[in-house]
Amino acid sequence: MNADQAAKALAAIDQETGSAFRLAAKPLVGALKEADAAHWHQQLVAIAGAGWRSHEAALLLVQAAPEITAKASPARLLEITAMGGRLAGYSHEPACLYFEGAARLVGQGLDASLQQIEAGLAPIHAKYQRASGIVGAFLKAGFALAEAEQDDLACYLAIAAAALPLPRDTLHSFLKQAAGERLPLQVAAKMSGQSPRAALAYLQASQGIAAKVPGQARPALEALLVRFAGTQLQPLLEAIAECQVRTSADWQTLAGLGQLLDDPRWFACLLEQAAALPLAQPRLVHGWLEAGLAHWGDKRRGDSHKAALAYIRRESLVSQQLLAEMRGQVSFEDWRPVFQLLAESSGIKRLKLEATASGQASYRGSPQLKAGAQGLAIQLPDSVALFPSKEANFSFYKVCLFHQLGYFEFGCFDGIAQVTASLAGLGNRPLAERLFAILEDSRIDWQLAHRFRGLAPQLAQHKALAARALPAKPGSRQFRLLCYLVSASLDAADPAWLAPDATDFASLVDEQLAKLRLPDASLEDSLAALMHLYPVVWDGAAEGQADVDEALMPEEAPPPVAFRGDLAAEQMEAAKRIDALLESLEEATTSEAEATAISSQLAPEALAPDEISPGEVSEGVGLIIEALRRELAGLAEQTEAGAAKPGAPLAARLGGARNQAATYLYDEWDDEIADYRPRWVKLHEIRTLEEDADYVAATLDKHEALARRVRGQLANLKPELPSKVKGMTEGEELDIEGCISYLVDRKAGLSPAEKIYVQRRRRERDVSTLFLLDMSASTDDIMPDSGEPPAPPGDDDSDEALVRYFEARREYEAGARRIIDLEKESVILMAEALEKLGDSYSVCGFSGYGREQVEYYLCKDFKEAYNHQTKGRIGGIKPCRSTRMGAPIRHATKSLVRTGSRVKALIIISDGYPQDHDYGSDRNTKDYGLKDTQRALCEARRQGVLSYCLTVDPSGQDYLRAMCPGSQYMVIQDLAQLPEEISRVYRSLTN
Amino acid sequence: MNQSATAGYALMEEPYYLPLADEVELFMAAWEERLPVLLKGPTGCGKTRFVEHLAHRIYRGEAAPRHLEQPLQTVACHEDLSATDLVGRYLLKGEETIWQDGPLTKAVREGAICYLDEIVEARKDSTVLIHSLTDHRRILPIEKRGEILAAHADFLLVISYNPGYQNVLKDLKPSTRQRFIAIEFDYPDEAREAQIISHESGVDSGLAADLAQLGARIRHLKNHGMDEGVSTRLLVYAAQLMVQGVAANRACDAAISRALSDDLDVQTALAELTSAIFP
Repeated sequence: MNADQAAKALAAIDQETGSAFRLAAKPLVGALKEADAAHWHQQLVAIAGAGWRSHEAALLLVQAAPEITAKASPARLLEITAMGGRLAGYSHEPACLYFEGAARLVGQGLDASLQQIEAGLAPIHAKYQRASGIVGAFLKAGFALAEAEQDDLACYLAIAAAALPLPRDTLHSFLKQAAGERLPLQVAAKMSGQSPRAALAYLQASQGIAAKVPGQARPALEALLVRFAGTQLQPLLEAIAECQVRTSADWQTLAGLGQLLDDPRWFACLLEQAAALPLAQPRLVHGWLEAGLAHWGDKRRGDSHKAALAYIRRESLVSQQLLAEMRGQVSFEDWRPVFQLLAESSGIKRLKLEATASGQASYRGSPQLKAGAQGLAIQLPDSVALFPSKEANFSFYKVCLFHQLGYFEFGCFDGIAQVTASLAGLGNRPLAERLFAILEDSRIDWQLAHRFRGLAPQLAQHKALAARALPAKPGSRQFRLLCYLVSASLDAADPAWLAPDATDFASLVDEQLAKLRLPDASLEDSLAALMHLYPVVWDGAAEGQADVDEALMPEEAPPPVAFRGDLAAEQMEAAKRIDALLESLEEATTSEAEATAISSQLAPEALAPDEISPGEVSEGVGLIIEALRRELAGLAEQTEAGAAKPGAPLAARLGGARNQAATYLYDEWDDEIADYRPRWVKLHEIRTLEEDADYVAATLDKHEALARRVRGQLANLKPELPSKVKGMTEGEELDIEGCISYLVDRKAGLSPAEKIYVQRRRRERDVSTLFLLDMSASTDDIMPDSGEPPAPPGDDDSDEALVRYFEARREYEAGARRIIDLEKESVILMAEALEKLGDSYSVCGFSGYGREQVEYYLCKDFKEAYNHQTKGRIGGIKPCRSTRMGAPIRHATKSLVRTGSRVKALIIISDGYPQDHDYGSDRNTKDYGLKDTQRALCEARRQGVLSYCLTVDPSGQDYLRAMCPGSQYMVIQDLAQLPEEISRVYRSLTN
Repeated sequence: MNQSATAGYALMEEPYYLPLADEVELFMAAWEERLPVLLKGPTGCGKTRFVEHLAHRIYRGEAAPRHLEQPLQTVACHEDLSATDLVGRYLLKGEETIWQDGPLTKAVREGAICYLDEIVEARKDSTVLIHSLTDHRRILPIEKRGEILAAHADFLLVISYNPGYQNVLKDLKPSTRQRFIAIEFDYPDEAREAQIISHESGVDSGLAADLAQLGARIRHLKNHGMDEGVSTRLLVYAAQLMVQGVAANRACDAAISRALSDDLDVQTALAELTSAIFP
């Protein structure tokens, strides 16, 4: 085909293309050989006529042809045309893109790149001929990269080649992404060799990673990703996206830690935990993780993957202990008894110590006084790891505690009503409160230094540290004045806070603080200082501004000093009033009997005035409770009204305390990682059971004969504990002293006293027993001795037959005895007999669901009377949910040990093996629960508690053998035997 | 033979006693009327010292009724102490038996003050003995000799009793209690305790004040296995150790923490408290 023919053919398809060809053809005449030209013309016409709008591609080719020929070669023109021709076969778009890009690249002398792209295009085009989108995206990205970054182009092509076998969508979205944004292709290319999927996943996440991880830290992290590319990368990428770490240094530390790990899942876990790890001390975390590797790498310790996860999450005891040890961390829990004793030594009644419920890695919460319906509580940080050494961290705790106690010792708490009254008179209440807090805190510190000469150096040290930690940025005038005041109160007055003309303020502060430094400075002195300083600090006072009632913004005042915490006068006043009410309650119950009655009924741990009706307790006490409730309601209302006020959380706290059962945290043994999971299980001690008042009486009626028998058996128990009694007329040994007097008297001619023997006597029993009842759902099963259930209707499926069957079934179920009934009846019979015997005992039940919700129902405590209410609670025991046994056994052990009795017995009655939905990682294995229970029983034994497991599960042999020695369990074959067996067990345990 | 811890005192030096309230006047009034006296109070608060001080005041003062070799007979009672130990017994001497007065008989005979310390510890038969001595009869029947000894006009019976002990079985019977006038003792307040510590040990007033403060704080911890908190006596011991050059914290550890409790938490808490108080 010559040029003319071609021009005509083209013009027939599209006028514009035809005219463009005429223009372009001339310069090409000499360049192309005739045969080549004819071939080219043919191809060109074919492209233009290939399909709808493909003439556009032909136009582009025509326009580019002279330049391609000139800058590359006529042969390249033919090649490019051939390539474009193939592309144009199904759609004009890829061909257009290709010709356009080819022209650009050749024009820029980048023909080599173009050829690379063509090489990469071939397989893609071969696979996705009809997918113009994929081919187009490939070309777009390729051309863009060829023009921008040669290295990236090679990587891009390599990734695309590797990704070719992946699903079409995955490939397509990668190509689109590569066309649209700049990607870290070089890293991805390294990954693509191992796993193209990982490379693409990484590229998908790359933007998020770039936003999250600072540039300096990225290479190290990328190196890690390349290392892990051969594995499942997605979870790791997600962990990076969600990681809370911000600074470059922390990321570098994390990447360094990642180098130690072999499994990306572990690294992902580490990233999840990053915020809670002391990354600022890289050597420390390294040491911790290395120790961890050695620990979980030890194959003897069970499943190393699970152990690794538990270790990194700091859920295993060894991990927690190591980390705490290495960072010199001091934990509240470890020191609670000592802190509590220190607090008590200052003579404050009804004061509890609590940890702020943060569980944070280092100190964040501030110490403060808190009032709840259960009295006053000082809150201290959960753990402190502010300083490298344990001593320093402990000294911080001590200073915190003494400062809080100082509010009581130095009269702040007693005069708090006066304080709130004075503060109420000031226009800017929040500012006045903060000023007062600073002044009072400084007075307390100076008083502490006078009174506790040994504490003074530590206090001074923490004051100096706090002064250094004051914010550095300049703020408003008020902010700077307050900062100056705080610095002066920390004995480090820093004039830099003051404007040059504010020297007056400095001397005023000096003068006022001087009074507070005196050994006998009182609350009045703090208030007087407040009255002097307030008008100077608040500008609004002079300008006659209206009252301000909004909380201080961070830019208006410096944050409270860490060890001093936040003194909120209003909360303290509320606390004071509650305390006074509790005191009157205590006074009203001074008679011992009443006091025990009330403590047992109210469970002072979670005294909840709202839930007690005055009828439940004796009249006088009822009235006080009524008053207490009104007062609490009033306080709550008062604080709710000012929700924006600093005191607002009080209402919430009071409300929270009211509805809470007492909760305890217990460790759990995880056999899979061969370590304890510390404070893993939350046990709720519940005293409010739905009572069934008549159950006990009904049981005794029903089993009169059995009750008598049990009573008879137990009555034979002999008192134990022999002791020597001198001066007896008969006995096992001679009393030497008595013998001498006897001889002397005989010699003196007197009638000698014949009481010359020593007898061994048994004193009264010293036994405490706890009956722990399984209240799991399976105890709702009907006992086999309840007769035959009604037969299903069988073939007769008429409505009447079905109705008859269901009614019969309902009747059968209502009348049938269940396993829980048997448990309850046995315990009731025992209780009756023990009342006669006089042994101390407790009845508890347990159930729950999951580790956060283990329920422990305390029906009768050791000291509690077996009265209407306790009977009602025992009657009210009913099937609930799962059987997580470890924590209830630990709790029961604790309460048994507390009795101080010589013989402590724990009798567990259950109907199956321990299980719960998260009792071990695999719901279907019983091992985890068995091993934990076994541990708990071991711990009990070590603490001198004799335990005995009774089960009514016929298959109990199998697992009880694993849980405890043969002499400590029994499988009851005949259920009716349970009451007698318990009595037998009781006798053997306690005698 | 069971040797009860008895001692007759010469009391030539005046024992130091710092009055806390009107107890001295009250005791002197009781002495004038020869009314039996019951001293109630926790361990180591100064009951024995009080009796010594008053015995000295009565018998070694200018207005002493007469000279007495041993104006005070003290008996520390324990659970094996029987009536015989108080009244006296026959002893063998060669082939003979001879009678020896017990401390109570000696005091009754000579007209001294007899002080039965921690009377509830003694066996029941010994408490009954004192009944006839503490009412209008003022006689002591000596069963073994068939003798009824009328008390000397100056005889005075003083008993002490520590209500703080948890042993409910050992409580004084009302019939015994109601024969005595009771003077209640407690540990002195911080300022006066500091004065006592300083006087008894010679320690400087600053350390004495710190010790007194420590004492007051420990006494708030009654419910932790320390039934009565620390006694003034232990505080004085600690001070004496300090005078001998033992560091304050170590002295308190030895004399107080370890003496009071075997519980590790309590010991640690006391150590922390001590280190907070002493420079």
